[in-house]
Amino acid sequence: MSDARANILRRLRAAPAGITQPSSDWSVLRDRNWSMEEQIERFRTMAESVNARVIDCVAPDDASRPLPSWDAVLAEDCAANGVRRLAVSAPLAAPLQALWTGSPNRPDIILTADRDTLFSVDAGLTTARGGIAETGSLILWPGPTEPRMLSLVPPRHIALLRTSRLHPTLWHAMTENGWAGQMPTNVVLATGPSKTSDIEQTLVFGVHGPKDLLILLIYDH
Amino acid sequence: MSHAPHQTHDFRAGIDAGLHDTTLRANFRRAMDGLMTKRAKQFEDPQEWTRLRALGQEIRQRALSKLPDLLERLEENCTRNGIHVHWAEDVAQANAIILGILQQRGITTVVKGKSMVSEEMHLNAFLGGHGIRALEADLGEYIIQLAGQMPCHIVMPAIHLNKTQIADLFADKLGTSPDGQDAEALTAIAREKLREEFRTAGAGISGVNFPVAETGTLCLIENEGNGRMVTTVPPVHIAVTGIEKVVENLEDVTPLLRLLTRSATGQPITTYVNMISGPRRGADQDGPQEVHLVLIDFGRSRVYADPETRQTLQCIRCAACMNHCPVYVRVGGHAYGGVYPGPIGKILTPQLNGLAEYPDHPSASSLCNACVEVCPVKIPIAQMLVRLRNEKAGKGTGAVQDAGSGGSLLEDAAWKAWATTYSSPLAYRVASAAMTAVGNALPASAPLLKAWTSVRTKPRFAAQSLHRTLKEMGVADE
Repeated sequence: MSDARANILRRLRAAPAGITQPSSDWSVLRDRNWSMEEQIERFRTMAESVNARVIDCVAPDDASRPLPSWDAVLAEDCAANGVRRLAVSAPLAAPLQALWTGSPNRPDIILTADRDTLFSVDAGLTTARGGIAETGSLILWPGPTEPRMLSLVPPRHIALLRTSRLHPTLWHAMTENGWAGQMPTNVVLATGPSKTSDIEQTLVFGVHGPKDLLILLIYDH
Repeated sequence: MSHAPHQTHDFRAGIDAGLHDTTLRANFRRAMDGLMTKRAKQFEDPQEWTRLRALGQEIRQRALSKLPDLLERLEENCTRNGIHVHWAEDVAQANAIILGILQQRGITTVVKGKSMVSEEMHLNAFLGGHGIRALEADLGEYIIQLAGQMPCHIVMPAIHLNKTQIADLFADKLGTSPDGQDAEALTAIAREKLREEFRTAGAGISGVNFPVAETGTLCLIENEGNGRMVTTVPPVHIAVTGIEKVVENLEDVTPLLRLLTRSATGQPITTYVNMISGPRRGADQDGPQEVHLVLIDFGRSRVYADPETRQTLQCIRCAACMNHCPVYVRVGGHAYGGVYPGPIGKILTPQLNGLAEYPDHPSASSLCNACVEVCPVKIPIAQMLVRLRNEKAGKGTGAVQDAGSGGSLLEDAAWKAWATTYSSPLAYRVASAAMTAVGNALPASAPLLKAWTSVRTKPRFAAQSLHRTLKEMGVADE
């Protein structure tokens, strides 16, 4: 194996210099002077264009805006879609339990990283590290408190996204937060539910990943 | 390579079959029209397109200019992240590496994400021969695996089949009903079949769109979630990628991503962009326990050795060149025989596998330049086709494998005669007069002429030359 490595590198090093271009102009990516309102609208338009559902809400203790609390929206959506078993991200389990205690018809809150359990639940609830306005994408950053499978294997994915965490583009999200110095094992950008056009270019949602993506957009900016 | 060195691919037979298959032509026409329209919508602002692709070209050429250093850096950072890095010069080495990893762990079933490199390796057949079941998980790949075919398009592998053909295939292989199945119902069948496979497979195998040297990150883009499944659920993840794909910095991914998804399927972004930087670590709750990266050469270092042909390696595999190619749209992907069809295949396949095996690839083009206009990283495909034609005739630098294998003394003599005639006014006049006299009398089936007229109507020569006609009309300085 080490021979292969040495041979390949030797051949590459023996090659003459190739063609290069002068440093390019990155402004085509950088120049996005969108206000917060523009970013929110852009995010919503782009996410909805690929069948994600975006519902505006606030934190449970926030009375500053005439918007419903995210846990109420979540409960209503679970009821409407027959979600009885909801797997949740660890930091959300205790607050949700507290908010829902005593309320009737709430789904079971399941806190697990067990593969077979996650394959059998009705929906997964995760946080989002941020959002990308340009493309309507969620930045998922699974780790010790949130299994990777939580946003992947249940047929429905519900994500909490704070408006203060919106970035104009992926480039902004990446460079302003210094991703290059702290990449976790897995980062996923998710834009809408899973889809395919492999059969006659007919768009079908829900292939191997979730069939439905609900984004609870929490206004906190 | 795994092919016999001098077994020539019969491109002409493939073209003939493709042109006469009316279902195939209808399926392709519809698909390519759709893809072209969607792409055009994404690049409506010509200024943005120009600036973005200049950036894309710069990033790819910068990466190639430092390729050996970046590969070492990629290896170092992947290793630091806990990814095992392997190197393979040829198909046999790469297959042996993967087989070794699987056999050591007693793995008998693997699920696969889409990977063109694994097609170069004929990996599924190889593993099958060693009692390991390799199951394609991308819907299009799943369909063609069931059908026992090769992909006919690098982004949409099953685009040559319509839903009736797929419903019949599923009925035959999976026992589902062939009647009344639309795309949604067929997708649901595949979802159900594959879900259990993802849950229980011993390993997942994927390709890589952008390996990042700076961070040791493997970027993988996809819409279906199969890429996430194969890289997340099984305990072992094996990624395979060509050495040329590496990019220098994490931020380099952003313009390339934008160019790739918009050029390929007309999407602003794919549903999923996976950025994988190692197996589970620390307190991570899931993800594979092991991640392997197999870096493959398979002739790429030879393509790299020449500064002009090296531009072939800028490719980010968007397939826009095939979607816009008047030849590809009509003959379909299977006619090309190699793993990579269309314009990029016409320059890449003969360079990787040799001009002796693929002698007709460089000539199957009118040099219309449609591919060059849509290439998001500005690969001069037409210029490269001409270069390969020269190499085949032994008129290049000899840098390409099997250079000179297609030389023809007759062709040389013909071009020499042409050059002599066109550089002497007297010879030119005599020759054109002779052409009129003899040319029209000559039957289309005459030797030498036959090869050309077999697919074209023989032209009728005018009674006198345009030159002369104009002179008679009194045009003094034509």
